[in-house]
Amino acid sequence: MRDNDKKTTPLSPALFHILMAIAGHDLHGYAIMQEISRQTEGEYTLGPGTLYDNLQKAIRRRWVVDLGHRAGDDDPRRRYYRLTLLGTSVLSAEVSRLENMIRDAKVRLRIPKPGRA
Amino acid sequence: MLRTLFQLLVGLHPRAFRRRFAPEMLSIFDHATGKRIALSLVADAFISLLRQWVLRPGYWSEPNPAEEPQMASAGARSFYIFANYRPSGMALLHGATLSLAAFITITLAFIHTSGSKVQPWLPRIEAEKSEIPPAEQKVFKSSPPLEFCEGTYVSDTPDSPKVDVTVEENQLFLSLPGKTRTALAPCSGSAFRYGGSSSCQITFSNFDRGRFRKLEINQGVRHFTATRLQK
Repeated sequence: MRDNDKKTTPLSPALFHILMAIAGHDLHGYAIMQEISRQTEGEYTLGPGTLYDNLQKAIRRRWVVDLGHRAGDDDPRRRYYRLTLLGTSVLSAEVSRLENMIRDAKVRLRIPKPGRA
Repeated sequence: MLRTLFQLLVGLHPRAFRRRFAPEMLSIFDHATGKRIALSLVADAFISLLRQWVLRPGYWSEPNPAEEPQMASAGARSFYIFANYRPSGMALLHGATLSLAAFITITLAFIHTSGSKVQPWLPRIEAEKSEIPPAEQKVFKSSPPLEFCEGTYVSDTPDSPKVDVTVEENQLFLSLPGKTRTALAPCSGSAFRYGGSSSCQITFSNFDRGRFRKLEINQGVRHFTATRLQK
């Protein structure tokens, strides 16, 4: 089975954070790790193994494109990654799914105020 | 030391992964400060190594753009064909190794669980229980209903007589050719006494479908078995 055949959502937490990190701008691996740590206020950290495993998956599914090295970078070993249109739509679908879940959860958790029938 | 270990672990990843991401992984390791973080990166590389070899067999080879799925003009996905598909030698080697390991494990498990007797695991099929007990399965602890014994029995041997067993007024009688009819007295279970004898001489057996099918007669030194005539 090809990766493109697999259902897109729900995304794993690692993949969700990676796509979200590169949603605004192109980043290299180390910057993605730092961005995720910043977004989650240090609560969620990715190791390089997990990062590149998920990046590999996203590249195969054409959600992310490898831009290669960038001239003038401090470390010539760094490669930059960009979210594709397909990746953007997948991330949007995941955000919508999470929104619906949160809305549903809020309805379920709503406690009726005293005095109201 | 830790960097060497990390580099070794990265180097053991599948070729496609290694070629694409190994320099960046080392770059990230070089940015790490502190022994604790370096250790966590080594652990992460080890987990990644296991994950790549065990869970990502489809990613072992570089994707070939020519083999990417093509979309039909109407937008429907076309069929995939395997005519040009050739698994890599490394993938075949790993497949063979895993198959051999699985085979040895299963064989050892069979041997271990069945006491050195290899038995294939097959589902057991149980026959439906019949309401009629099979022959010689039913054991009468007390005297059976006499109607079960009634009938004509013929011996397999040509010189043995035909035996008639009848029931009259709740009494079992046995008739041999040329002899008077004799009442049978219950002895034990399906055994009966013949005439005034103290020993059990007549035994009915092979109970099947509401009838005894076999009759054994012991007359001193003479012993013969007769089978019920089918009506």
